[in-house]
Amino acid sequence: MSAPTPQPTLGRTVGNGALAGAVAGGLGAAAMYWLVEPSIRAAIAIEEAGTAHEHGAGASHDHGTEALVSRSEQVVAGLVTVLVVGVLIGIAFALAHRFLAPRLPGRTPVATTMVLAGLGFLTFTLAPAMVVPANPPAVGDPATVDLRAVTYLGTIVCAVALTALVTGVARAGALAPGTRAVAAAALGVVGTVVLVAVLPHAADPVPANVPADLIWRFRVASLAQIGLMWLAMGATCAWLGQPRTVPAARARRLVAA
Amino acid sequence: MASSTTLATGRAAAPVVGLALALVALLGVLFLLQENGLLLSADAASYLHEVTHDARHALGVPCH
Repeated sequence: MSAPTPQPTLGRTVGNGALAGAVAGGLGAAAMYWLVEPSIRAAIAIEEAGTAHEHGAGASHDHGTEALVSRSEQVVAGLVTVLVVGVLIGIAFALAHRFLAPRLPGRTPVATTMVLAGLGFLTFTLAPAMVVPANPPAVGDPATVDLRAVTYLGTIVCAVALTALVTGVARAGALAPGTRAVAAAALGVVGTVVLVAVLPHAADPVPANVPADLIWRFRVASLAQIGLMWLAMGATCAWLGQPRTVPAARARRLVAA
Repeated sequence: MASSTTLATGRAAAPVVGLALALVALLGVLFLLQENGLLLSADAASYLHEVTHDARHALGVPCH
């Protein structure tokens, strides 16, 4: 029983994904500690100094002394959360690659893995970041959090659907290569414009006491962290997915050397 | 014969199991980052919210 294309077992795919996700999560946690935490600290200082935004009654969300979770615990738990999220996304990523590889651009497993990581960054990170940009703790109205959460998830779903459509048209065998490229590019541009126009403008205004500079640094740092995570996950997954050299062949090479 | 039958069902089941696993993984991410008291008690949900707070902001997920 030999399959025409050797595919790893499901367990191996999940294991590779978890490992790649752990690498991405570890790097992401390091990037968060060095790049994002300074902005979070500055934002919390502003939040505690003034009343940048009032929380609804009952929502225990002080960062002060009577906080539910201490600040140092919050930092450590935040890093652990990034690691856990990395592992979970890594598993989903490896499984998605296992089933989507034949439909992705790229001739080798390494190429399709990196293409999928790039598309993942585009659809799961960049698209929602454009519609509902990341904000540090000092920004955000509790009254709009449901709309923002739904818009955030809806943007991801729409971006995935549009990307699937564009990729499908770009690879449609029924069209001539030139037509295919133009159709895919036009669909991508028109689809993006329509989505930006149609999706609700759910982003909260930035309070006057929060400097624009802080928001900018936070958003750039956040994008850098998540971009690094996609890159590390794609690269590790691609490396783990490469066929191992047969031990006998490697031994023969070593003897010959 | 029996072994080839089990092998065949195993192969047919792999995509379903894989899809289910991927879905569970993504729902786990959603649970960690957006659980607002739907599945947990209010206290547990607000503890989870506070403890994952930095990661939620850094990962760009909406938060109040």
